[in-house]
Amino acid sequence: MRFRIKYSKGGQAVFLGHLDMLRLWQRAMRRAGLPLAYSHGFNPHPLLAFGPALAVGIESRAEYLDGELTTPLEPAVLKDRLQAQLPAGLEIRQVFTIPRQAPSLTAIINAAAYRVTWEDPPDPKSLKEKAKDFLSRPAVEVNRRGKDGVKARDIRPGVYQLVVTPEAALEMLLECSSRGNVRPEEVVRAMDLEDPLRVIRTGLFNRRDDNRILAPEELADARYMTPARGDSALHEKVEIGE
Amino acid sequence: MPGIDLEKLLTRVSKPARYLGTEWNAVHKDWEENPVRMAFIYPDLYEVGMSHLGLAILYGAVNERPGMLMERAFAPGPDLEVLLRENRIPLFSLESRRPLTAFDVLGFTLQYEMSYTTILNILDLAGIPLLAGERTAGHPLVIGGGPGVANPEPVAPFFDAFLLGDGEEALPELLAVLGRLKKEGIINDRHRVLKVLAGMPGFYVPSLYDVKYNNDGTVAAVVPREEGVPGRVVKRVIQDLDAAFFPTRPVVPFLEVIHDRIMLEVMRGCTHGCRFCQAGAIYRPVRERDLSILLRQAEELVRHTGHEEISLTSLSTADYSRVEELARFLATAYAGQGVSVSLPSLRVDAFSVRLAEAVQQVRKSTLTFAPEAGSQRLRDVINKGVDEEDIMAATGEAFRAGWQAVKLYFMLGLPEEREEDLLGIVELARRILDQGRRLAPGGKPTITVSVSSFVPKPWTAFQWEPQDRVEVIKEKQQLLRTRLKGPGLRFNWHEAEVSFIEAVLSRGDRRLSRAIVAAWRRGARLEGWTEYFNYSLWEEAFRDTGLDPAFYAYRRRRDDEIFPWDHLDFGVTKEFLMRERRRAREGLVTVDCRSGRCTGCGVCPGLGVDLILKGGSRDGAL
Repeated sequence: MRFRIKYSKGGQAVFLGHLDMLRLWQRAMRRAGLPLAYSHGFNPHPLLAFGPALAVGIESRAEYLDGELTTPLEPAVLKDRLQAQLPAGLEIRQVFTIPRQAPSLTAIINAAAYRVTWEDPPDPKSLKEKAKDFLSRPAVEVNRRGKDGVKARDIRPGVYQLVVTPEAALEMLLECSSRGNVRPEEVVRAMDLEDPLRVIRTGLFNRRDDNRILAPEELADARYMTPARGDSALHEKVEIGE
Repeated sequence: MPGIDLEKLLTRVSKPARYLGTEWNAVHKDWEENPVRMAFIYPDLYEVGMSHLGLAILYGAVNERPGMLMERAFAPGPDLEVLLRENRIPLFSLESRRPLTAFDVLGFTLQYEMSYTTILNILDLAGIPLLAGERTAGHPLVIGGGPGVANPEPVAPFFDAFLLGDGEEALPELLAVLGRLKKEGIINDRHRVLKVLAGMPGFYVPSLYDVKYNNDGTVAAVVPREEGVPGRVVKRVIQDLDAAFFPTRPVVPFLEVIHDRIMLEVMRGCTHGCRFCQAGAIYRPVRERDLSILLRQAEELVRHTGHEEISLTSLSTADYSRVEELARFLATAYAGQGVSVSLPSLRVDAFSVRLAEAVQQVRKSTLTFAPEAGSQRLRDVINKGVDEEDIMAATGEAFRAGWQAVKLYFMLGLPEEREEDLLGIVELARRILDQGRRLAPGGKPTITVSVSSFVPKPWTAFQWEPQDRVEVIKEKQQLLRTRLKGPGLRFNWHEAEVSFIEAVLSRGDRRLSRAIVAAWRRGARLEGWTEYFNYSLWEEAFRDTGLDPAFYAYRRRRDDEIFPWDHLDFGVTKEFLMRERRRAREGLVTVDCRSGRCTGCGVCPGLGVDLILKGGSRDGAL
């Protein structure tokens, strides 16, 4: 039985890195006594697959992982047994079964939504101006430090949406896939804003050709079994919530 | 009482998961309901400290008792240290994030000499006077335990007390006594508290002893200053490990630590009697755990931790009487849950390799053996009890079973060592390589020769011996380096200067505490890490304090010399060690007392204990 977990990461748990999370889930599942399916071969490991890594220090309301059981279990039971084995800061929001052939999280997810807030919130008007200005630029180059030094990269095509809320939070929908990834801090810096107090990942999505965005749990519906590539023409907007 | 607010700092340091304290099985006991509070401090980074079984044992043993609690603290990474100092935030415990000064007792484990400057750094970061004599009412009691207390004299001025030997009974006893003193309102009478401690078995209060020196700088005597203080402090021994506490809910780290696995302690002590080995002397006698108890502990440990590996730990696990049954059973029982079994140290023989082969599914890793010396003559000198046939049989078995890489540990600078012994290392490595080319699948094995430098240690037959000078060690390393070249051969060695400082500190006396302070003041800390060790700081420290390190490291001790640790009693007698030293010179091997023949080391009669072996079949089936 294949299952998909949606969970949130907050509190102290935001300081755990991606590799820490892999170990943590494996061990929590073993403690919960789940009948996990293992890979074959000399060094068997549980068949778990994770969504895109979340940077250390960032909260999330929507992280995902897939797993497989050798004997089926009610999703509600699985959720309770597993939640009881998780350290503070990690909360399972939903567990659901997925079809055997369902595409993997990495095949589905190509966009991530973030919400950024500041200790001293900027004036909403100027924030809006900055967002508009950002979206009107044909290209936005940022420097990325990689293994072979610093490289310039255009993040503009990967910024799908910027929304300024009345309380002066900035919400963004950014590219998040194996082909490219834009980090919320890069956008904040390119907009010439102060370092934020909090960055929250609010969702991971499959952004479709028709510009609809669907969460993995919505995609579990058989109609959406084929994930969209999400590389159609850009339709950005600056929403001004009143 | 609120803890320290760290959130902002944690976003600015590497590996913030070191400092969270919310790991699975971390114990957060109520501060008010548990009036006796201790912080266990491992004087190194989290990843090292969380690999220490002693911490897991004592953390569990104290926290399972009502009225007392134990939290953990480690050395901060250099980046956090800077932030703590900048923001004037005192070093804190992980669980409640309270400053270390809020605790009644701070317990450091002394695992290696190169952690001594880190102890000072931690005390300083906590805002606690470095010298025990400068602490007053309200300061925590600073105590030490672990193998370093075999000779705690170089750090004695920093500690209020030391605990000699096994701690799982003695430490809760101490905390119970302190609870009583607290209730009676005498906890702030520091001298009275120390007097009470000095009267408890296994506890050594260094400030209650005077050290007298001879004109030549050697120790003349260490004598109690007051009545009621014992002339000798005898180590504590848990006679029956089966009845002792063992933690089955150890903290599961978030980070990948050095030993990131279940540590199932199958026995304590080792009786091989290698003449350079301090652990083999100070953890005597051998006490094995019952098979049924180990199986129960393993089951609980897997269920409570979710770890993917069980390591059968001890000083020499292949010696455990029922190791084969245990390892095979565990490997079969937990394979379905993706849990594997590993043996940390292999004895140099075919039995050990066949055992590893039977339980270790993954062959990609390296198999490690420690012949220690390159010739039979020198192996007999150090009483290694291994001959060339054993070595070839063990490595041959390893290659046949599919291992591609073999690592061999040797020591250079051993007493009685000659050039031919060093060349023996090269010959041995080449013979093993040739054998590997014939037997290993693919025929392209790798032999890694790892050479450490001999450090004479207290409580060993070689405690009288000088260490080779740094220049000599370097020449010997060079000799090996030029000869251990070529395809399939790798050579690595330890920094000679580190071994030199270890040798100075391991047999040092109280005067050396000034050099440790001076080295720390100049910036020494986290010196177990090559990237942080800086020899010049020590050179300056010795110059600052007028102490001569050569006196401690290079000097051959007189037969009748009084050692700085002679007032401590770990059971092994000086007469036995002297006899072993003589036998070493004559190249005579002394057999393991497991065989039934007592070697007269003095431990059993002296401490009123006995060897505990659990019988069962050995070697037979494999």
